[in-house]
Amino acid sequence: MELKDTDLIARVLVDDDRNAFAELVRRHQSVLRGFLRRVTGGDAALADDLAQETCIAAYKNLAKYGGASSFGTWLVGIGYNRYRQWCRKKKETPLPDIPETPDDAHGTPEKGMEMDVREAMKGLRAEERAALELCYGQGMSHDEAAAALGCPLGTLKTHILRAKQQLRILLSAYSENA
Amino acid sequence: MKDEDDILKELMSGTGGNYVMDDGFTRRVMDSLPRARNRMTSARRRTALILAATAIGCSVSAILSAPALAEVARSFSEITGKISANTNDPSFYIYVACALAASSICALSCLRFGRN
Repeated sequence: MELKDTDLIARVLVDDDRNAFAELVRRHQSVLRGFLRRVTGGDAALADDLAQETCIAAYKNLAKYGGASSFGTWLVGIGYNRYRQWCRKKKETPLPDIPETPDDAHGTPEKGMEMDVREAMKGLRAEERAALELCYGQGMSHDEAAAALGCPLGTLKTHILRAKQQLRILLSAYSENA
Repeated sequence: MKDEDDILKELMSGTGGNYVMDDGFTRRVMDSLPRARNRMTSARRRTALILAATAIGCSVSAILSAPALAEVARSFSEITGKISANTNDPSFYIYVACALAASSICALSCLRFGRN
């Protein structure tokens, strides 16, 4: 029988069970890395570095996880904070530009419209991109996304609204073609 | 015409919602975790405490009763001498069986207490 996340967390906290923590990472790495790849504009190497830092921070602060949201949401929240820290650092020390062609693990060909959206999303503010990705890319509810991003529900809705306004031209073109 | 939200979901799950393969990510995370906290579990800690307390108790009692121990040893050798002379007595085997049973119960109780 597969153990619940809460059981695995209890094992890590009580017995420092590393296998239990590895299982938690295995379960949630896809959502975390997918989210970070999206908000970093497809920079897989940077996203994976941030994801790794996120997991280590989660391990160190696991006792602070209160269970108010799911473990995945909590992890994404830490990931988003790491990304914001990286953004602040980036202002001080310029880093190489985000690659034009994202590193796709599967090598699947991208559709033109999806590429356009990806490009258009680079023009959004970080919090707007993150809000859009969590709600539409990862299928989180507004409440979950707000918890992950550590902002009030109203603020999250504003981010989504603004992001959608900026993408509206692209979306209407796609809608007419669909 | 599709709803704006549906289009966004369709486009974003197509580009970002795909499952990201692990590709050694979990192993890299586990390798970079801080060293084990070297914490004993509560059961192990309790067992260690019981054993340590027993050892200390035995040592203290041995030190305090050193003169008496010599007397005990002398008495014991006298008893064993008498026993060896009376091994044909059936009550001897009953005493031995009782002593074995008592020590087994003690050992099992210690083990069980230590496990919990």
